[in-house]
Order: sequence, then structure tokens, then C-alpha cells
Amino acid sequence: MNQSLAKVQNPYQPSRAKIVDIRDLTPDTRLFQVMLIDPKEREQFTYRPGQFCQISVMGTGEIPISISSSPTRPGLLEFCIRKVGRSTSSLHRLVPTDEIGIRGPYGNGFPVEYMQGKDVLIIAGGVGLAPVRSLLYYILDNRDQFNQVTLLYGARSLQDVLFPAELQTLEQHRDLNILVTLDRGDTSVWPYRVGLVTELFSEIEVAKNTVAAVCVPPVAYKFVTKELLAKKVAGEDIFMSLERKMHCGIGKCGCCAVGSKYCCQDGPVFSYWDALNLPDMI
Amino acid sequence: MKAKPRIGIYGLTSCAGDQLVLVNCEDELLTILEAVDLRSFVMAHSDNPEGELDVAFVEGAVTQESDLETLKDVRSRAQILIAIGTCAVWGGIPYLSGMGTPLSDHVQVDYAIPGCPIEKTQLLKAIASLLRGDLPLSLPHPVCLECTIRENNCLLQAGEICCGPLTAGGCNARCPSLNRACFGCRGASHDPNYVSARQILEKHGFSVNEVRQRLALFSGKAYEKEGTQVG
Amino acid sequence: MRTVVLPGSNLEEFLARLAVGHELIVPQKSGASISFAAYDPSSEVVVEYQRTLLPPKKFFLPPEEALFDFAPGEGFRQKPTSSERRILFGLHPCDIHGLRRLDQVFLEGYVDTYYQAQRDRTLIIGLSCLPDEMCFCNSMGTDLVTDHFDLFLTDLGDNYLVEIGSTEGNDLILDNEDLFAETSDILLRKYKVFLATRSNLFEQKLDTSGLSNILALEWDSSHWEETAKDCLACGRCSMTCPTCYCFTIFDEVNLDGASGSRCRRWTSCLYKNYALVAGGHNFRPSRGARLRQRIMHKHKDSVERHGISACVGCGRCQAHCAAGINFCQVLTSLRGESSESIVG
Ligand SMILES: Cc1cc2nc3c(=O)[nH]c(=O)nc-3n(C[C@H](O)[C@H](O)[C@H](O)COP(=O)(O)OP(=O)(O)OC[C@H]3O[C@@H](n4cnc5c(N)ncnc54)[C@H](O)[C@@H]3O)c2cc1C
Ligand code: SF4
Ligand code: SF4
Ligand code: SF4
Ligand code: FES
Repeated sequence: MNQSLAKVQNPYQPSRAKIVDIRDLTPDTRLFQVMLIDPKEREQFTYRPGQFCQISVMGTGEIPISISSSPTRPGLLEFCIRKVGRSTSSLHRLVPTDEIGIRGPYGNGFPVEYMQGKDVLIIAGGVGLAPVRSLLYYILDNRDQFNQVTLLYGARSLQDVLFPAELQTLEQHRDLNILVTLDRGDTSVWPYRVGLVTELFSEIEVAKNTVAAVCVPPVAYKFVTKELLAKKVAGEDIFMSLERKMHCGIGKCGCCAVGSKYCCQDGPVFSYWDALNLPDMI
Repeated sequence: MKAKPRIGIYGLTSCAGDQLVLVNCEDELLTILEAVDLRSFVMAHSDNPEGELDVAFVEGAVTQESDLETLKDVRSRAQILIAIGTCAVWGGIPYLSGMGTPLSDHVQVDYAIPGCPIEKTQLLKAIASLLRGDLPLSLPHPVCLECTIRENNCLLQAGEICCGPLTAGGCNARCPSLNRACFGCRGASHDPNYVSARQILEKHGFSVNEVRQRLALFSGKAYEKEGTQVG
Repeated sequence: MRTVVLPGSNLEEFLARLAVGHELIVPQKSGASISFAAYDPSSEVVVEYQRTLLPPKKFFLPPEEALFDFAPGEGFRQKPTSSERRILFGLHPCDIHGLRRLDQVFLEGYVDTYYQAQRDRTLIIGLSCLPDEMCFCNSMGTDLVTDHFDLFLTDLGDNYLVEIGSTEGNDLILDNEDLFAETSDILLRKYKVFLATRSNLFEQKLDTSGLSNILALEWDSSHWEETAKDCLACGRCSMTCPTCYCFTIFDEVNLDGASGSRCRRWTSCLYKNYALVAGGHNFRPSRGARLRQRIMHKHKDSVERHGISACVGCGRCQAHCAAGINFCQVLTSLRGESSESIVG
């Protein structure tokens, strides 16, 4: 018989949070600014870039969503959510002042300490920009801790580019190298690159001391890691934020298992070395 | 609160058994009728004056030209179209005799509530979700999950033609729990392995024909698609 | 460990007394199968049985369970859990080991408070058994238990040797002292004979040496798809397994379209949509990949994660598979394949 010594908190309990603002980013993606209602919970909520929350819309369900804001800018939490199904559609029907539930933060996040003093190469595709946006701002706010920082970002088309204004500001005013490409596009409106994100590699130099952070659609990891390895980035220096079906977020429901790892707890960020050991990871 | 959802319920060629399930929800019917703006609950004609609908429930298979007309008309007026009953979802028994086709052969179906007849609990849950503004949740499991949870001895294992593993769950294993093999009345599951089921049943001594008749009875469409793969 | 003796003729009375002040669960006949169910004085307690259809996990992780009630403006309110004292009688060693495995999942890391509440209110009384042709607990090292029970009864003919595993178990003895006797040397000898006899009765064997290493190497084996051709994806192997714990969480809403409850329900990694994510990407698109997941998780992933196999050799998965998939055989042929490849 198991005696619990202290009464433990129910880990499935969502905290109440209020939507402060909603911004349309693209036709199917919105940025939600959210505030935990309880001041104590708000104060205690700390997180790392790359971590995620379980977001509840009461009556519809709960889904994992990356935190898109940076812990270096405390206050509101930001989630960048693409409408793809039931729960995300339900979220898209909400308006400011509506309430949602939040649990988390969960997962390991990107190894920002390890990245210090190194070049950081960030590769994002589609809504994969959401978690790395957190990392980008974290780096910006601690700019002197990192060497050269590059973002390679691929979107489906012009109207699917997330945060175009932000990206532009970042590129112009800060010491960041940002390359954006479109899967398809009209080159008269889009004077930049058209092609897959992997094609951007030909335009960059990758120094020896480079750490990569990758968040792309599931099918693209194989191609991106191949490019990185070709550029001599070490397997253990390639960090990928992976997607899996998640129900509990806390290592109980089993749904997100990747070999002996749980994506929700041991991930969602895994190194390429992990992927070599766990055959169905990427 | 926004305006009450406009609902229409239509029957194509069918026994109207699924509409009856709704009528028989005595305890809940009043609540539902108060929450919705019921525009139609009769056999529909293409010139019906009900106008736009938020949700249309359509029962029955498409067996004649007029069915198709009705269906297309309803689809053009409805935000969400829900197939109710195995005839509407899979073509049901009309399909087997080459007489009818499922709704999804002709129009986009947003959600399916299979069953012959449909289960009251599933219908009510679906209506509740729709009132919430969501599409209902789809059930991921075959009848066997519910059957096993009820701790029934397995009839397929005992040598009967039980369609449980091939059939969409949601009936709480009604038949196997009464010690009767599942007839597959709820139509195909997400992942029916007809090839294996046939082999198992042939090992138990059933003829190819017997097996085909039973397994394809309600979901002929799925059977044709999956069952004829070389196995 | 302190041991006492319960004369077989006193068992009925002991159970009747336990039922006072406790919710008592015992193995009973239900149709053609055996199942753990609530005791009442007319219950026919089955003391000799091979395996219940569902394992005792259903009392700790119910097949379907409401976690919260919710209503607009009120948030998610935790469903109250019962604190009534409960006794589970008649668990075989494999099932007790099964609970240990579940404890590792649900009580380590984040504590699953629902599981914990059920665990905290339950005493376990184990019962010895004899294997049938599907049991292979002695291959998995789960044929005996030394802890994780309150009492353990070994059937030695006219008497049960009772091992006492906890102070709560001891209290049950003290409260019913008149039903028990002191252990005798003869009985201890009988106990050893019983153990030796029992260990010779296992027909189903599984060589577990290096099994997780072999599985890692056989990831790409054609065996997976070959075997999975037969799999009906019925999920019965997962439901009946004492250590399969996967569940989904979903909201069920009332007819007011607003209030409702958040629930969880068992699921199975054999289901096609188990690893399907929005956008249509399926991380385990084939039946072979799904069957491999179930076997890898038991015999390799769990060893890596918890240092111990998640299979306790109860035999349920293979006893209840209508497609006749024998998991021991699958593992044995995978091992065969490895040694062949060395030769070749
Ligand atoms: C760690 C992590 C971080 C994520 N971050 C973001 C983000 O920042 N922005 C964003 O737009 N999307 C993100 N996603 C994907 C997002 O969780 C899914 O798009 C979402 O769950 C789809 O739910 P749905 O109900 O709209 O879709 P449906 O297809 O209707 O899904 C129904 C149910 O299936 C499950 N499910 C389906 N797809 C997924 C999935 N991809 N991952 C996990 N569970 C799933 C959920 O339980 C969901 O309730 C993330 C996923 C993970 C695993
Ligand atoms: S009796 Fe039928 S429904 Fe039940 S487990 Fe067996 S095959 Fe499945
Ligand atoms: S019990 Fe057998 S047929 Fe059913 S899912 Fe498991 S392995 Fe497949
Ligand atoms: S895998 Fe099979 S034998 Fe092993 S514990 Fe589970 S049901 Fe029992
Ligand atoms: S989401 Fe439940 S274990 Fe990871």
C-alpha cells in the first residue's frame, strides 16, 4: 500500500487565464496574448524557450502549444496558433477577455546555456517559427552571450509568413542574419527567395562552433539535418523540436512516446544524436 | 449567447429509424428543442423554404435521383452536414444490393454518426458538441474496446463470426454483451483488417461466402476497398 | 517476513469479515470468464483461476474516468475521489508486479493524483496460482513477490501460508486473530515444495537475456509487418494487459453546450490514429509499426526507462488475441532471426 506523505497538486488542473489580445498573423494563424488570472500563479510562471503549455478550451479539449514569447520579457504569454482542426478552430473563435485554461510549462526547451558563446543557426518552417521565436527574443535580450545568429525560415507562400514586420525589424536593426524563403511565390511581389528552406544553406557559411535549433514540419527533419551534417554541424549540436500527439503533457498517457523517451517530458527538443538512437524519431 | 443554431433533419431512402432515436430522447428532447431553431424534420423536397442551416442531419442512402437532389440542396444550404445512420455513412444494406450509395460519394460529409439505428448517447453527445460550436469528437476505437472493457469473453475467438474488430465502437458492445456476435451494424472502424478476419473465420470453418456476407453486410464500401487487397 | 497460517476452512469467514468496513473486491465467475468484482455474501469467490479478463489496473486507472467537471465562470473542478477503504483480494504475483509497473509511471515524476488516491485507499491481498500454457511470469522474474502487497496467501492444500507485507496487513490479522494459526515447520517445507513444483509447470518460456539489445537491432526486421498482417487492431491485448496504461483525454459537454466534464479513456497503440497528428502525419503509419511499438515498449523501452521490463508474463495478451498472435513466439522468432544473421 502506498502512503502519500504530502497532498500533491493535481497535475491535470488547468489554471485560469484570460485572453488579453488576439492578432491575425496569416489567414490561418493567430497570435494570442494571454494572462494568468491568479497573480501568484502569474508570478511563479517561469519557462524556457522551446517549452510548451497544454491549452484548454473548456468543452472542446486540450492541446499542446509552444510558448512563443520569451521569458526575458515577462508579463503576457504569447501563443501562435494555426487553425488545423477541432481545438484550434475553437481557439480561433475566442475573443479578447475570453477565458482559457493553461497547464505547464512542459518539456525541456532549447539548451540556451549550451548555446552560449557559440554561433546559433535557427531553422524554422511554417508554424515552427512559434517556438523558435521565443529563442530568438531570448537571444536578442542576451545578445552578448551568443556569437553570430542566423535564422532560416520557410513559409508556404507570401501570405503565410508569420511576423513579417517583426522579422524585418529584427533584420534591419539588430545583429541578426535572417533569410526567408517561400515554397511558391510571385517573384515580382516577393523579391527574395523562392524555394525550400533547405536551399538556403547554399547562401550561408556555417562556422565550426555552430549549434542548430530546428523546428520544421515532421517530414522535413531528415532533409534539414542532412544539410546541417553536410555543413559539419555535429550531431549532438543539432537540436530539433518535435511534434507528437499529446494528451497529458506530463509523461503519463503514453501517447507521445518515441522509443523510451516521452516527447512531452524528455522533449520536445531532441538532438540529432537522440534521433540516431531512436529510429522513428525523425 | 449567439442565435440558436438552425437545424434541419432529413431522410433519404431509409427506415427513418435514426430520426426515431431523436424523437425517443424523451428526457432531452425539450432541452434540445429549446436550444435550437428546428427548421425541418420531415422528408424534404428540393423546394423547401427552410433557407440556410447551421447543421443538417441526413439519414439514409442515396438510392434515387430525388435523393441526390435533396442531398445536394441540403448540402448547399448547410454549414455542417452530418450523416446519421449506417445507410447514410456506408450505404448500408442498400449498398450491398447495388441499390444505394453513401452520402460521401456525392457531397462532403463533415461528421458521421453510424449505427443501425444510431446510439442515443452518441447522438446526444454530438448535439451537445454542436451546440458548443464544435464538431463532435470521433470515436477512435472498434467495438472490441468496449467489449473488452465489459469483460466479455471473445466470441470471435470462440469461433463465431463476430464483426467487432472491424466495426466502429460507440454502442458499448451491445450485442457481444448479450452473448450475440457483433453484426457490424455500426459500419467499418478506422482500420478494419478484413483480410485477417477472413482468414481467421475460414480457419474456423466458415465458407468464403458466409464470411463475405456477414462482414460486408453494413459496410460493403469499406469491405470492397480493404477486403479485396491481396492478403 | 512475518508469516501466519490461515486454515482453508476459515477463508470464507475471513473475507466476510473483511467486507465489513471495506469495499471488498474478489475474483468471481462472470459468464465464461473470471473477473475482479465487488464481493457480496452470495459471491462465489474463485480461488483457483488462471487470469481475470481485465487486470486489477481497472481499479486504479478506470477504463473511463471523469477528471474534472467544468462550467463557464467556474473553471475546472476536480472530481472528488472516494476515500473508502478498499481491499483487493486474490491478485496473482504477475498482477502485483503489474501494479508496481503502473506505480512507476503514475507516481514517479508528476504524481497522478487520481491514481494515487485509488492506490492509497486500497490494500492488496495476493494469492498463489499455478500456470497454464500461456503464463510465462517465471521467464520475466515476476512469478514471486516480496513486496507491494499487504498480505499474500499461498495455497498449500488445507492451509494458506500468509505472508505479511505491511503494518496494515498485520492489522487485518490482529483484528481477526481467531481465524489464524502460527506457522509450522511442516508448512514451511510444504511451501518450498510448492514453489519447486510450480516452477516446473511453466510450458511457455521466453528467453529474456539480451532481449532489449536484440530488439534494438531488429528494428527493421520484416517480422513486424509479417506478423502484423494478422493483427485486427482490436486493442484487446492492450486493454487486458496489466501494464498497458495509455489513455486519451477529451471533453464531454452537456446539452447546455457549455458545462460538462473532462474525461480520460483507455486507448491502444495498435489503433491507427494513435500517433496521427493534425495535418494528417502519422508517425506509425503501418500495422507493423504499431505492433512493433507495443512489443518494443514492453521489452525494450521500459527496460531503458525504468530498468525493468514492462511485461510481467501474465499471458493475457496472447491468451485473448483472436488473431492468435503469440507475443512470446514473435519475440522468439526475432531472436532466431538475429542468430541466423550471424551464421549467414
Ligand atoms: C510540443 C508541441 C508544440 C506545439 N506547438 C504549436 C504551436 O505553437 N502552434 C500551433 O499552431 N501548433 C502547435 N502544435 C500542434 C498543435 O498541438 C496541433 O495542431 C493541435 O493539437 C491540433 O488540434 P486540433 O484539435 O485543432 O486538431 P484535430 O486534428 O482536430 O485534433 C484532435 C485532437 O488530437 C490531438 N492532436 C492532433 N494533432 C496533434 C498534434 N500535432 N500534436 C499533439 N496533439 C495533437 C489533440 O489531442 C487534439 O485535441 C504543437 C504540438 C506539439 C506536440
Ligand atoms: S466478442 Fe467480438 S467485439 Fe468482443 S472482443 Fe471478441 S471480436 Fe471483439
Ligand atoms: S489482441 Fe491481437 S489482434 Fe487484437 S490488437 Fe492485439 S495483437 Fe492485434
Ligand atoms: S505484454 Fe502480455 S504477457 Fe506481458 S504483461 Fe502485458 S498482457 Fe501480460
Ligand atoms: S503527452 Fe502523455 S506521455 Fe507525453
